Amino acid sequence: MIVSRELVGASVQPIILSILNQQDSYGYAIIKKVKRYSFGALEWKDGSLYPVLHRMEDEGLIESYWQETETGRRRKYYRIKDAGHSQLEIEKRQWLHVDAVLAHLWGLQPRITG
Amino acid sequence: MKAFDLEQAISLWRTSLKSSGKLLEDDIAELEDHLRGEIEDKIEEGSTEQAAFLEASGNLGYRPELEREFGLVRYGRRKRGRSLVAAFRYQGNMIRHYLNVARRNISRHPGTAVINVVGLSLALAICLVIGVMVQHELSYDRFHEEADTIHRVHIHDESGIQSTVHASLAGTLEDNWPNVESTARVFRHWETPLVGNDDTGNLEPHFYFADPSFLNMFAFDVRSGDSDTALLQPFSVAVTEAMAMKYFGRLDVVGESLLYNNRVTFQITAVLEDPPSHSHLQPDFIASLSSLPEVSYDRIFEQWSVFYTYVKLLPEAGPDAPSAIQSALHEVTPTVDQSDEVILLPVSDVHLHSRAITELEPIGNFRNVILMASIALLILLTAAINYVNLTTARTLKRAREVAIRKVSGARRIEIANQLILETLLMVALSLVAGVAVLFAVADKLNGVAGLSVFSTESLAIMAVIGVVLAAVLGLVAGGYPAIFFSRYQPARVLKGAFISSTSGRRLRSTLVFAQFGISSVLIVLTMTVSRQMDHVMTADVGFDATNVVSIPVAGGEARGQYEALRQQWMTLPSVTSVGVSASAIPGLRHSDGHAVRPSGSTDEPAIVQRNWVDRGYFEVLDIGFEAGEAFDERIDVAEQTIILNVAAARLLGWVDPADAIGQLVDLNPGSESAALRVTGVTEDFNYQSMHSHIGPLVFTAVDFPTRVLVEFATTTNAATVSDLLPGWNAITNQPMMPSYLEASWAELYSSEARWTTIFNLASTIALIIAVLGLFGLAAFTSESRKREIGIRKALGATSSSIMVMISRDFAAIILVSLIVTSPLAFWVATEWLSSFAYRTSIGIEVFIWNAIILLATGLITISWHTSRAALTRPAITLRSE
Repeated sequence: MIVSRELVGASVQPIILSILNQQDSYGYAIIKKVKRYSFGALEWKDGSLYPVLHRMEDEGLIESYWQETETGRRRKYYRIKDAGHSQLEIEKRQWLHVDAVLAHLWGLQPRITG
Repeated sequence: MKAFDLEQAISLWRTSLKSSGKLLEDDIAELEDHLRGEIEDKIEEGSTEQAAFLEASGNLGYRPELEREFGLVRYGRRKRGRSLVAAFRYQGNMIRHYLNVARRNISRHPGTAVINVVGLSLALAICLVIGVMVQHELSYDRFHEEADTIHRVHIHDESGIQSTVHASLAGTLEDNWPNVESTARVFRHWETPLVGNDDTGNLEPHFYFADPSFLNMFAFDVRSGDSDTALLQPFSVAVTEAMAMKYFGRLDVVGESLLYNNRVTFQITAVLEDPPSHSHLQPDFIASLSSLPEVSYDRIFEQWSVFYTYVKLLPEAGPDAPSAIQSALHEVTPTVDQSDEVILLPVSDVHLHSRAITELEPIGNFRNVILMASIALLILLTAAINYVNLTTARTLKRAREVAIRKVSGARRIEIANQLILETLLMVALSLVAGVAVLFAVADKLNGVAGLSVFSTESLAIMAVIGVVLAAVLGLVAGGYPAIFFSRYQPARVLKGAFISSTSGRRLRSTLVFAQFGISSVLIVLTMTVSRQMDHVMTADVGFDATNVVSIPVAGGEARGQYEALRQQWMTLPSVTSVGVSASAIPGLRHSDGHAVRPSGSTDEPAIVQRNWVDRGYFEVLDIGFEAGEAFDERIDVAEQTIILNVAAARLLGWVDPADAIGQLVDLNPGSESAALRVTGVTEDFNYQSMHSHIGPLVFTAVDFPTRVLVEFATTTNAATVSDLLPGWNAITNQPMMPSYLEASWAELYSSEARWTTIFNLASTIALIIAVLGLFGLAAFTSESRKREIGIRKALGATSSSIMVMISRDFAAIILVSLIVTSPLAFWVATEWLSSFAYRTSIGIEVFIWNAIILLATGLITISWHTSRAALTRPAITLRSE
């Protein structure tokens, strides 16, 4: 199952924030993680992740720093900032709310309550 | 095949991302880390290096996509500074590249380039020339301070629009309208005065009289003297710098004196800057108006309506003030009839929009300005069409280049930019060429235009405007090809599916059609103008100016001795007759507004024009009589007689001229009471110009001759005219300034003569440009049909049938364009002619000539190429394919 483009667009920011909330990470690792968790259902054009990261950095949700890898390559890491934490909280509530509404309408048992 | 080198591939990938300058170093480093990470994973999964690279770089996205994605945050506040520099560097590189391609294109097709540059530079040059002239015409009298508040009073009465009014009107305006800031009256004597000092004497036509307020109302710089008081006292005069130099050889002449008509001494109270050429007022001298009763006629202020009256309103008077004055002026002054219409004409409209009967100086014509500007634009359009035609005709040749560019990642806008830039380059080259030529011939242009408007300064201004014009032209002429080319689907072009579009061909036909249409209108107009000029110059005007010279004479002293002068001159073998008039001769303005009616009648008198002449006047000009004869005697005897022209006789009720003979008429009842006996009725000869109908005219005996007319038996030259000198010098020390009547008659049409030159030039240039375009197009057509022609010939077609085949298409376009535009041309020509009262017909032969000229030039141009194509042996063309 492939998730629609619009939904991917809407979900990309909370996903990135959630991943960075676990630990600092870099572009390729973030994409790999998303692919793994979604079993390929969320298809991102790899290159398009970076503009999103840059925009979030511009908005002050996350920050970046460069680090050398063990092979000596320069790698850009991203770290979540306080504003990112609160944004993540807001988005979490919104998603769960939407999820609850849909679950109710579809007669599913809500598994999580927010 | 070379083995795949991963590092080299990545390095190339990096370079490609870097090349556009849209991605920053950091962005690329981040993406590279991603790329390498993914490649490592893929290799671990068992891919080859090459496959891993291709897949990873594909997943990451290709350059245009990446650029687009990054572009969304690209110019965010954090990065703006750096990225703009990079963007400029990138654009700079691209422009350099475009210029390179353009240069190669030009050198590969020098013919097309030459046609384009010649056409465009001709068009731009004529546009600049016309632009300078139009700009000059439109700029008249805008340089006065608060020019929009200055108006001239016109009164539209039964005999037309009068620009001169009664002297009291100025005071009436000041007294009744508090928003009138000031008024200034200007008077210019119809009789050219003799101005002199100890050293020299000259007839000075531009001798004005004006109120003291004149110098403050109009922006004529007072160089020395006081502008407030200079014209207060009677017998004071302000002179221009040119006149100061002419009479005194220096500029500090305040306090010097000048002698007016050998009779009145004027004191110079101010020196003015020479009036700029874009002023309808062109005074050389401005004397105080208060001098007039002494200088001219002692009751001039009470009796004559001869004053040009200017009104300056307060700035806060508002735009409605003129109309308020217009509608209420009758009520406060008896000098304006209830039925007359009062017009306050803005001073900046005088030059182009005044339709008054008289003017201080010759004025312009708005219709001509519009016509001239339209012609300039049409010519520019013709040149732009050439460019579009020749460029799109190269479609096939450039399709491949454009396709390759697109495949290599060029966006549509970049293709369009390139083509527009190429056009701008062409136009810039043409502009430089055009302006260079203009500067080189500026002096000659001044001669053609009859104006000294082509200064370095005005040309420099126009050159700047030309840059704007060129930019617009570049965008227009480059715009279509740009859209046209950038639309290509590269895949189809490269696969060979691309076929020369029929829409492109149809467009080119339409454009050629338009070009020849424009040329056709201009040619018809040109021929009409020159026919009308012929008509005017050769038409039977009712008098004969051949071998007649006119000599102005000033001052009462010389006039008193006229009879002696006449007798002396009549003894010369070369002189056949001598006559005299008060100022007016055919072509000059006659005294207007004289009331005349049969004696004893109480009817409203008829308004006629008047001249004061002697018997010799009719002899010199060979003016025929319908009935009766000229005055019995020579000068100053026939006080009690009058001569009418047919129009005047008819106006007074004598339809048969013979009925008028012996009748008594009153002239200006009330002021000139004596009844005058009609001794003769002249034929209606055209005494104004071919612009106006022959109006009613009366002649009375002369008592103050101002012009002596001399008719010679043979063609005059300087030698025969100098025979007159001994007699002249015996009666006066005035300079003798003869002018040929034929020449001054021609002078009436100097404006038309100038137009003839401009039309000739414009239509020639339009035709040259159209022919150039056709030449280029024909070259292209015969070249692209080379193979077809070869095959046809191989199959037995004759050279002539092939020529006919190719020429037929073009000939059809030209012919259709001729037919379609002829009504338009006819209408434009009729419009132009309508300003003449006596005009030539627009004969069918004008259109036939037009057709012959266009078809001949068109077909000769085409056959130059088609004959070459048709005569080539088919073996050669077919082998080369």
